[in-house]
Amino acid sequence: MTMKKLKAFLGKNTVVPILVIILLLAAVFVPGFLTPRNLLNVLNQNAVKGIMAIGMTFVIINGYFDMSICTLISLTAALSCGLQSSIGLVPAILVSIAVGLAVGAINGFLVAKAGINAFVVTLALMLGCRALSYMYSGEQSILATNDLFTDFGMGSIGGLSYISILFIVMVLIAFYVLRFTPHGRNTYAVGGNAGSAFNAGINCVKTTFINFVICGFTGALGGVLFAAQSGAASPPLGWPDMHMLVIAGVVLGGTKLTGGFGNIWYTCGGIIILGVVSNMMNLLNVQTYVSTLVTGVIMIGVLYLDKVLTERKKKAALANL
Amino acid sequence: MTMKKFAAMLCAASMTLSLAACGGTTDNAASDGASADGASSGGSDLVIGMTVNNAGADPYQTAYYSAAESYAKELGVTLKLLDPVGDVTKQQNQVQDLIGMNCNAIVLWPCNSEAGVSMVKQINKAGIPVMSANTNVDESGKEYLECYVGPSNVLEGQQTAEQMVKDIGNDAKILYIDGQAGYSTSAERLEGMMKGIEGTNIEVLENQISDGNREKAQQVMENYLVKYPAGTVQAVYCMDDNIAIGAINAMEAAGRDDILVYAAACGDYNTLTYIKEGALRATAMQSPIIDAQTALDYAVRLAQGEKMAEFDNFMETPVATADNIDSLNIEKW
Amino acid sequence: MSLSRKERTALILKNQAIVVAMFAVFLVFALLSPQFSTRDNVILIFRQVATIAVMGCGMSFVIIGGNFDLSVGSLLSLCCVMCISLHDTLGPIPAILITVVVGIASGMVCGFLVGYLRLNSMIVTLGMMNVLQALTLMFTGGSSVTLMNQKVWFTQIGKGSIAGIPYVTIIMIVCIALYAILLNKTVFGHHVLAVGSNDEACRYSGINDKKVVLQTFVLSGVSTAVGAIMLCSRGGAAQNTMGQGYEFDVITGVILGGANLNGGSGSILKTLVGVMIIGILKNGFVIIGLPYYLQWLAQCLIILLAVWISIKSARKKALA
Repeated sequence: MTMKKLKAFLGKNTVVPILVIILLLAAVFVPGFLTPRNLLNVLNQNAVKGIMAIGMTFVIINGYFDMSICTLISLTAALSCGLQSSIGLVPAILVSIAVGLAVGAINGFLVAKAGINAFVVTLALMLGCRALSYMYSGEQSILATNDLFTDFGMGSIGGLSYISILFIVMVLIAFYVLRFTPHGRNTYAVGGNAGSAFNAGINCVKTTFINFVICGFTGALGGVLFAAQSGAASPPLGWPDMHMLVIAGVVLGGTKLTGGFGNIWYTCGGIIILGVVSNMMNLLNVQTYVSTLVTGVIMIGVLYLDKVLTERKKKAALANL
Repeated sequence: MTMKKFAAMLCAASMTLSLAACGGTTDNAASDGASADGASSGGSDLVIGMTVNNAGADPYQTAYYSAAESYAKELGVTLKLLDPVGDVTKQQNQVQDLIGMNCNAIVLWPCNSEAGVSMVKQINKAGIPVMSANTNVDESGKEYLECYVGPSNVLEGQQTAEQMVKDIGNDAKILYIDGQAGYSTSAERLEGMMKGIEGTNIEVLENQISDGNREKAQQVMENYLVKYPAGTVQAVYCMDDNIAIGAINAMEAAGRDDILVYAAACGDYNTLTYIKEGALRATAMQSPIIDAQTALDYAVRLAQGEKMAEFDNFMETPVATADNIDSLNIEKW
Repeated sequence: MSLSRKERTALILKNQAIVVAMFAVFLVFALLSPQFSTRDNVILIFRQVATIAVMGCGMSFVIIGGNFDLSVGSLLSLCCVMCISLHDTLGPIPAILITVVVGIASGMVCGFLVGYLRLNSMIVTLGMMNVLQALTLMFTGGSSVTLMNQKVWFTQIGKGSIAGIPYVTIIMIVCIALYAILLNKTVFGHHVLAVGSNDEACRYSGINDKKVVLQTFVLSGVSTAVGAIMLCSRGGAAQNTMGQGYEFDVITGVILGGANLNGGSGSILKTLVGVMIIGILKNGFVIIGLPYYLQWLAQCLIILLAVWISIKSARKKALA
């Protein structure tokens, strides 16, 4: 009975067996991987990407995706670094976050209300943010002048960085919102089948709008945290594929791009898969092309394994009927 | 069904294999290092960590990468050489990984000068001596660094610009093609050029980026050529030789030869033919082999606990023109 | 037929919004700078967009079939370095043939994974992007490649012209004509449109949708290879990162051309118009002396405006 339950659990949460396989491989083949310090490193290194993936999870469960965070992060990084000397640290961060919310709101309005394809809208905004980021920074890197800012970005408690702690807290909040609030339930309903969600009286436009704003928020926060971590903002930050890495993290965890299915733990799993792979390659000190190759192969491989495992589960469910 | 199962197993197996293959490579590398260790007496068991900017991007960095690798074997030290492919966030991660590997000294070639500050701060905090190579970190990070080894980008830009002033005179108009936005080497070479033309009436009419990409540089130059018909500008000054060749290609395609081409610095041995032909009028020669070897020499001294007397340790970068290129005796790389 | 002139112009404005936009952008630059509308500059723009336009044709098929191909940028780099380095070792003709074969092979891998295994095209081609980048680095060992002799006929493909028209422009026009016929006049074209609009239904109607998807990716691979040949012959050299970011220019061009991103509709000629807009903006901002980054802002606004207009008109049509 418990065996059966376990099987059902693994079939539903395909990210778990995949993650276990990759962790086992890393532990066996990579010397120095299985030290507490290195494992914390993996978490610390991917916390910012993870935070951006939280917002992306909302949008993807909603049935869309957001490419604009690609350059939104370089814009908010530049704003938070550039403004902190003139208007102070907290206002600078608030302005950056406000810009992220605004970009999210524009995305949300154009997708949900005007009904334009999400790919088109977010690609357009990606180009727009890129222009604004270069314009604001004057094509130069901007140094963060406030020590408090960089201390937060680099500081840690017992090996766990402040940013990682923020990530964990945000994951818990996201879990609560998705699981226990009406907005979370609406998100699943709209992503699963917008038509029936509408018929059930759910405000699809509002739900989608809010999710894009959440994604804009986490994207802006990601940019600010990148700046805090590296103590500077450079115009090409994130270009050309940061958004794709975030989306890949979410999807590799098992959340479906078609919408309606997924949760925040999958996202954590997906981000950790990508992070562990990159960490392993660094520890093994392989040539760059090897690590690029392995990352590519693993992306496709994980997607395929997820597909096979899910289909088996579906078949089993049909057989049980 | 069985077909699918088989395919899934195959897929998992190939992933395992690819990882195992990686494991294999390092084992070899490690044993190589060990044997070299036994042979040489000086290096003992020093571990040097190094993260370069973007090894695959251009010939200079590729030559630098392999020169560092082979020179480390010669010295008998273990070199952990990482390549962040120009990505600041990746380099940040690699620095953390290097700290975790317990290196005796770390060499940082920052992808971005400003972002390098927090990296050297972190390494310094971990108690590991750190130096910057080829590209220095921003002024504010100096206190955490032991030293800088590499070219002086400002000097390169200035020397080439001075040569340009000799050619085109004091009253001229020039165009500028930049590398990548936010890359400090670009900014420093531009600063050097401005120093070089200080006191003259030379006017810089344009400044566009090319992402350090020859093809994009060619497009930028083509657009310049349409905008500025023959006789309106005298020279185009490029951030490096790769960009300059793009500009030369564009001029060739348009059948123009009224604009002289300069490159602040040259890092590709193949460019020498362009200098000999006179298509590239002047550039500061910067050898990646000397650059990498000097950096490693200093790193070994740091790892042995030595303190450096001077902070800036510039390598020689002589300005080459068609007239003096043969007398410079440049070693092939 | 019985429409008044006013109604007819309104209709053209709605259906051909993107063509009108292209002429408007062109006109603005022409008014701002006398050098912009010279014959030389117009030819230059056509020369510069050739690669993106040919790649855009292939991408149109993939997108009309309901998928994305993000791997084209990396494939472009791989094809360029292969073509240049094989040119000196094997000769120009084998180099060109092998480059095309590489394009086909990459397209087949993507097409198999997306069409037959039904994996999500975005993530698959993202993975392929990594794989192809790795292959490029492996092939060159990190250095860039240059032709030994820059005076061979191969470089004339990119540099030469006949009666003032560059060869690359001619190749581009031929490709566009071929692809337009392929999409509009052949059974295969209809199948692509059918698969893109509703692949569930067409599976029952006997179309082999797996094969059609595979074929669209192969087309994208081939056009990228052709684009690569034109691109690398222009400079007689290739770098590892040559194609980085090209996928966005190509996809932006297709989107501007009005292809439906859910699949099922699109036009090759309009893709050309979309790509031309990008080319005009790139060239125009330099000519009139504004910072290059404003071109992205302009692209952003034009995309949103064009899509907005087409949606508005579709809604009005639905109401009527």
